[in-house]
Amino acid sequence: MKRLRSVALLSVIVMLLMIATGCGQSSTTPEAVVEPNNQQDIADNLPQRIVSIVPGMTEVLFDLGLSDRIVGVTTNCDYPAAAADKAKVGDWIINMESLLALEPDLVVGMPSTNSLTLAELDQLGINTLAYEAQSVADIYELYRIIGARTGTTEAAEAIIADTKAQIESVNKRIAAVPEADRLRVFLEVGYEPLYTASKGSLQDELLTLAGGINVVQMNQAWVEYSVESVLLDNPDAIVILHPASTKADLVNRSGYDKLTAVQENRITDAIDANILVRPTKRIADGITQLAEFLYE
Amino acid sequence: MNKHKYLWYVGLITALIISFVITSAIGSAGISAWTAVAIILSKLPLLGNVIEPSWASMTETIIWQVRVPRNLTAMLVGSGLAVAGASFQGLLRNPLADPYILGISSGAAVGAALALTLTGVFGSIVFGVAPAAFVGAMLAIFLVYNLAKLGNRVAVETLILAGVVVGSFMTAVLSLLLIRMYSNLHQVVFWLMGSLGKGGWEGLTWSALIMLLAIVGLCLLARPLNLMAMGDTVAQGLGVSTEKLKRIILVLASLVTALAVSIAGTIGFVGLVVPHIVRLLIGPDHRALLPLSAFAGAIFLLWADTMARVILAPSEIPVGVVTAFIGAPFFGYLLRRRKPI
Repeated sequence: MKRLRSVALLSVIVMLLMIATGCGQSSTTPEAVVEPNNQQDIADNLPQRIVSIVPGMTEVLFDLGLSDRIVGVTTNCDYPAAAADKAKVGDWIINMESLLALEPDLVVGMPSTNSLTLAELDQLGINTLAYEAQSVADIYELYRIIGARTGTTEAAEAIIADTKAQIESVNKRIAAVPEADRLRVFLEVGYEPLYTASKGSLQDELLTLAGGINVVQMNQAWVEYSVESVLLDNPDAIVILHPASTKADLVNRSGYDKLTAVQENRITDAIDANILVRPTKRIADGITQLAEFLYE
Repeated sequence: MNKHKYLWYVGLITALIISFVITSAIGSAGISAWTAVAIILSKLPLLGNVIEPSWASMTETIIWQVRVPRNLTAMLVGSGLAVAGASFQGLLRNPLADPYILGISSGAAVGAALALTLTGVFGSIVFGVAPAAFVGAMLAIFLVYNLAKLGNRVAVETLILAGVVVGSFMTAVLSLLLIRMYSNLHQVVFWLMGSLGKGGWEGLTWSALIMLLAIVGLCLLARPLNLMAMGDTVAQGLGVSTEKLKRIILVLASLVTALAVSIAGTIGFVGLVVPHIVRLLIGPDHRALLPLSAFAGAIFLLWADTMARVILAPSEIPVGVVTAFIGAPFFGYLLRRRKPI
């Protein structure tokens, strides 16, 4: 009886397995929703339906004059204003269904923000392009890459030249400020936890281009810092690059009233963090505003 | 036996004062110990006139405006959590009880997350994080008590179950808030890990007063708490009004925990491990356990916070991480050490 029972159990299991694998077989043939990845067509067919899954890339695409070819952006893409009219595919988390429903032939993103989404899209056979720009040179390269991919190389070169010229003019204006008067600046990128940007980060490079000296000189792009260390460094100016604290909040923090920056009222929360954080041509505006804040 | 207890009191209080002085001298700013001591002494009313300031003004700011209030907060929160933990362990007759067992931490976390979310949505502060956390915590305990109440009585086992229910629900609400306000994620997560760095002197005054009063109140309830360990019926037979006692202890311990969490976020293991260590040293009599846990908790958190500040200087680890790293292995050791029956 026991033997019969175990045989019966075994045959039931085998049958279930066969059914399961049989079902599995039929579902592996792909539904024809997405075109497979045709590498050889890229050179001929420039992408006509582009989706951007990160705000920085949206700006770059619009800058290159591709607004007609953009079919989807995220809800965080707030610049330029025209981006608001495009279909939305999610916020920090991308809704795959919405994205696929737009039938994109190119999805652009950044490895640091979108690695999981991009991996998923690669598996589905959708063309993706991801580039991480962590310096000014990288940003120029970014415009070139996207320009080459979308056939807007001329526009890309024009933007690069423009941006370089803007940064040049800022450099000329700051050149008049003598070395001894250069200000030591603390970039506050986050509070609770207190974060600053140091060597290797885009913000540090922008600060240097704006004529400021970063008080935090560590070989690390993002540094979690302590209030004690800020007090000890005693910066001449503080730039708040996040929405969690206003200038009034910062001044009221315990111990901050003794800082040179507070006593000489050189604190700003008015510079839009996006123009100093997103890798786009607006960094030129960021550098200009930083320089004006520091030396005007 | 009494003489021994006095020794413990004297020993722990001395250790606390020494710890306070030493930890005020340690930090990422590299200030010499003598300078730190001198600065603290100079602020005392009588001694202050004798000491000549020979240090930089910024040094004094760092010590007096940043480190000293932080250490005082650590002492306050540490003692509060330890006493609350010991009280809950006695009240619920459960050695695994900690101050957060009745959903208090989850309620506080929801309050804090809500405050941070609203601040993010409106661009400016709608509710302060600390008051919101406090309201959340008290709401949680209110729900737990009413859920567990049957007629006019509440069984302690039911309290724990109700705590699990309310805690789980609050955690679900918290997850929803976190995912809706993804940009604030790091702020809420940082708050959850616990940090003693906020507030400075202003954060201390009212909360400190109420917490100290509640801690003293709990210590005064030590004798009835001893009797509760023998069960409700026996305690009642010995003259304890059990329901009233449960309510008072619940209110006081939750108040202390809610205030501690609203000041410093959810710092774990202090309320769980410190009472057990003290119990190992002096036995389970609550008349000594509660006050000594208060001092021991203060010392524990003081050193944990110092380690958190110093190990990765100038970065800071959240103090809840340090307490977990110390507390969890120590608790494992306690478990291993039990003698077979």
